Amino acid sequence: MSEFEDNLWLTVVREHGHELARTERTAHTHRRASRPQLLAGTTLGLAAMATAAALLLGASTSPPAFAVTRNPDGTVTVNLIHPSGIAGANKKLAAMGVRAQIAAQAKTPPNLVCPGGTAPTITFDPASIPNSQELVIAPGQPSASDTAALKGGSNGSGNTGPGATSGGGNHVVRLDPGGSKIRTYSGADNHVARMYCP
Amino acid sequence: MATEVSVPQNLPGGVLAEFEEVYRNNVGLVAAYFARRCWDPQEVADLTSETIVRAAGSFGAFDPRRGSARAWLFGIAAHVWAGYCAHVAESRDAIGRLAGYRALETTEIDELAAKIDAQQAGRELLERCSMLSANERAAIELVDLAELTPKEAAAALGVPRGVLRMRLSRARARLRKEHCVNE
Repeated sequence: MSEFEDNLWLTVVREHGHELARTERTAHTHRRASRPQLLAGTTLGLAAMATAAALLLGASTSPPAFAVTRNPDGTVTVNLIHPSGIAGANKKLAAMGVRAQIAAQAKTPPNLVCPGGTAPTITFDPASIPNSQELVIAPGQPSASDTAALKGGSNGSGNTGPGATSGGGNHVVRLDPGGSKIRTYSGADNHVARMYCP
Repeated sequence: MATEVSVPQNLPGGVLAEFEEVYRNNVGLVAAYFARRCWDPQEVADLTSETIVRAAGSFGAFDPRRGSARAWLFGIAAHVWAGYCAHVAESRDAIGRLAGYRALETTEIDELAAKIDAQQAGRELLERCSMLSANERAAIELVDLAELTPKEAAAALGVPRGVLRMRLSRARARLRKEHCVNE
């Protein structure tokens, strides 16, 4: 994927991500024969049961792809371990009414686990996202150039820039409506923040 | 604290993930389609963007039973191009109607300029096809340049497969004949 194609995808996610995430594909539901549908349903059912069991038992047979958490203070934390979790995380964010989407890019590595086995993460304050705008989250760790560019307004996490303020020691990304953007990647008009390794 | 956790491989990706797959598999071909028609990287970018944004807006209505996603996307691209040409022909502000798309970064201009250069052979073939009817040209381009199967090309052009094959066969025969005469 070229830079143009990556940037165009960011635009699509930003402007149509919510719409697509909520789209009902009525035609699509008829394309598969009944047998595979039954199998798919069974697989998903088993997967859901496995997840529930893992949560109940406190032990997981397979690592989760993502976690979206609403914190008591209203902030939202997103952890992403595997790119396969991007769609699910976006769906969850949309269902929670949070105007933020993770944008998958060609450079997204297949395995996102940070050194030490932790998941890349971001915590942000949805209330600080201006109306009619959306926070675009780039998965993966910041590159060296990103880190350098972000140091101007950094809270120490390497995740915020001018226009964003830290929420304290928990690396909360808050957008300052009167300020500039957290980080403007080429072609992005909205606020774009990158996950980081905790 | 409420936490939602997923299982990696088995969770349905949703429509957004489906559209992303369509996008990643086809955006390069769509950009090449416009790169064969335009010399300006910004025009290629705007027309590609217009196609993708329209596709995103109507993805809910896309019916895979009626043809592949690639065929569907090229159908949209053809409409975008026809609309653009109509505006140019009427001396209206064709670029203005694509307003809203961002100006390109230098690296993106370089990328798209390289894509335009890479389509030189395709442009030459299209020029050779000027002797053909518009329908025959479209069939040749979709199958021989845009990498669509005859079935996909038929769906993109909204014609039965038999008609598409006939146009393709007739167009190739005429091109061969012209090639022999020139030699």
